[in-house]
Amino acid sequence: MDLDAIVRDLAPKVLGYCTLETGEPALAEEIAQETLTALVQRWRRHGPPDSPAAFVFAIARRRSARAMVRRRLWLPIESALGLRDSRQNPEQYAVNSDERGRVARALGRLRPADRQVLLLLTVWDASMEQAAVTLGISISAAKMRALRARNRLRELLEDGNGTRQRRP
Amino acid sequence: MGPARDDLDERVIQAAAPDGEAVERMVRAALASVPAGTVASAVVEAPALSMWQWPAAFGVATACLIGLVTLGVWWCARVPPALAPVAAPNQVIRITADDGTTWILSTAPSDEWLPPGSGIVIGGGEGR
Repeated sequence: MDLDAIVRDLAPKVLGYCTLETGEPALAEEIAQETLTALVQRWRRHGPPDSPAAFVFAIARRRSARAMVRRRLWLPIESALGLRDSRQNPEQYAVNSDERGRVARALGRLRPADRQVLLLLTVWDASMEQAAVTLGISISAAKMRALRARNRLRELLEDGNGTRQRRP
Repeated sequence: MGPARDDLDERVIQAAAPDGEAVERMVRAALASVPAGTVASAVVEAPALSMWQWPAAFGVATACLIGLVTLGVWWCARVPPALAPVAAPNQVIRITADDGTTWILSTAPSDEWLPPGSGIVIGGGEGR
């Protein structure tokens, strides 16, 4: 296995995954950067992991979850202290106002367990078996979560609940 | 490779499509984080040690620790605990009645305080 090729293959996946998990491009890039760095360090110091994709996904998932918890904890405090500008910056506005933002918001309303299966199957291009192994669940459970995620996401996008600005 | 994708999956993939410049920036930074050719750590490469090699591997600190533990165990075994129970001293009470009869009461065994042939009956309440 070639480290450079694997990092280049995983980089867009992990960045896309973190973007949809956190909803903040800058935070997503930071988490994805740390995740890829962890893979490179592990690879060069201790050898390649059994599954680089699973290794990267596990770290990205954990760090995204921590970042979201931190954001939920600090957001009210920063808002109360006036440290956080409630207005969106141009990048955030562009993201939220287009199709990408609608899908991201709808994904954000799914159950985390369901969303992760769906993102593994789509963004990571994993098979159902690979997704089940990565998440440590049975294949039937992964299928059930994927079905539930797709149905719920379809409902949200059709009802416009994933978006606040419906296209004319 | 996953199964055939529907429109919904394509929308998710499009939503996750990252900025190419950001990806390239991340890749370069990640690959530069640890120089290529970095040797594997000793923790991973070190062979498994046998039972008798472990003390030597731990070195002087382990030897000192074992010595201190041994010394402590010996000290505790040598000096009895300060709060060990102490037997209460025997008490002897002599009572002389008006008629001159002497009563002697004691918690000690009788052969420790009764003179031989004194004729006193232990617990009998009568003496001479």
